[in-house]
Amino acid sequence: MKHSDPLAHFRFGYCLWLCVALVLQWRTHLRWVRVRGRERELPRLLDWLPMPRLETPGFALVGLALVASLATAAAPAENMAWALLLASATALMYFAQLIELPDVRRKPNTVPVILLLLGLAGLATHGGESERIAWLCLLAVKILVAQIYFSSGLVKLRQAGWRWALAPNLRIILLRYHLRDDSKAALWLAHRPAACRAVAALVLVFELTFWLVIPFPALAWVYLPAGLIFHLGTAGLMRIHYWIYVVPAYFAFVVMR
Amino acid sequence: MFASVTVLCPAGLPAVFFFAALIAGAGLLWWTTLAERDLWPFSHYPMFGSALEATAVRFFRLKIHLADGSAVKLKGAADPLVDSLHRKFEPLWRNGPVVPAAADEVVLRCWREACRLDRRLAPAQRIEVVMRCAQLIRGGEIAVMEKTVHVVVIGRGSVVA
Repeated sequence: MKHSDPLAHFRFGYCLWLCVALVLQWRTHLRWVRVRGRERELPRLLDWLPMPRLETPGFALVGLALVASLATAAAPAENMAWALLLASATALMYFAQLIELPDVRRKPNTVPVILLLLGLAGLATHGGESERIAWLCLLAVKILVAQIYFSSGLVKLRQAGWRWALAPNLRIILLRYHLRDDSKAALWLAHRPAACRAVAALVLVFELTFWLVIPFPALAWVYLPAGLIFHLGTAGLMRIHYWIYVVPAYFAFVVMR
Repeated sequence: MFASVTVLCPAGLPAVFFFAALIAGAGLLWWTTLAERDLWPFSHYPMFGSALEATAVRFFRLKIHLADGSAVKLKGAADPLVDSLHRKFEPLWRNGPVVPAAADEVVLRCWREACRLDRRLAPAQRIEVVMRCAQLIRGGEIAVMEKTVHVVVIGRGSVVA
């Protein structure tokens, strides 16, 4: 791995993080597939192509292939394009089986796409122009991350307008999670209407303006810590763990600086 | 091995694929965001989008009484079923008096799945559906209460609380 190769650094950090995360969640995922069996709902690729239903041994095999290809792709070798393409395909198969699991659902959506981009970039750099392709690949990863926040903020604006930050929205959401999980932190915050309005307004501003990090990379010093706090907050208060799959993509903002 | 396979690709062609993927991906992102549609794995992430004007919220949870006298809720390995139970029980409650047979089916189905996820839940003797409510009161105060709304005695049938 060259010191000046931001794409290789990103590939290393991203794949290693995912590899460890998947190993740690392996038992939960396998148990879910075994228990839900044929009752599992499966998504259609691009809302069109039905994903194949895997039985437990098939799922275990796909999971092993995913972890192995991620581990291979994280290795500091020259080009791991085929390992990344395999990881992308197996990630699609793997997460399709778990789409109903609350800790999965939309959370790993960017994973197969980023792995595909890295794989294609790896193949393309073989033909030269590696700097331009690396730059474009990391730009695409940044846009994917920014789209999660922007789209989420846009939905709030379209459905509720700025009222979203003023209505008792966040208090009701927090209370729901208190009732669900006995979260004392959620109840504590829900008791403070002014703080809830401030947090809701900050969330809306963060989601709608995160994309500014792309044209103005210096803003990463503000937005990346804000993003980490946002994800830690949703994890602590609501047990929503987007950070597992989204935070490793933050490396794209760091390596290109 | 992977590096050697890469060498077999003609130079230039992968770059075409890469740029095609970038253009297609950008189009899909644009479409899912503006049309508010999900084209898996692309999404418009609609979580918590609507404005909630309600000042009260409720959640249905299971309380499982085991043979050793202890009472547990779904957690750990069985945690993924918590939302599923709530989603299935909520319409039964909302649409009028709970029909015992329908409620039993929802509860027992959830418990059987929970047992497969966590075997410690298997020696259950009684399962309660607890409705937990929270109400916003003026001045930032919140009232929280809970009430058992349905009971299934394993092997005997249900009791509507």
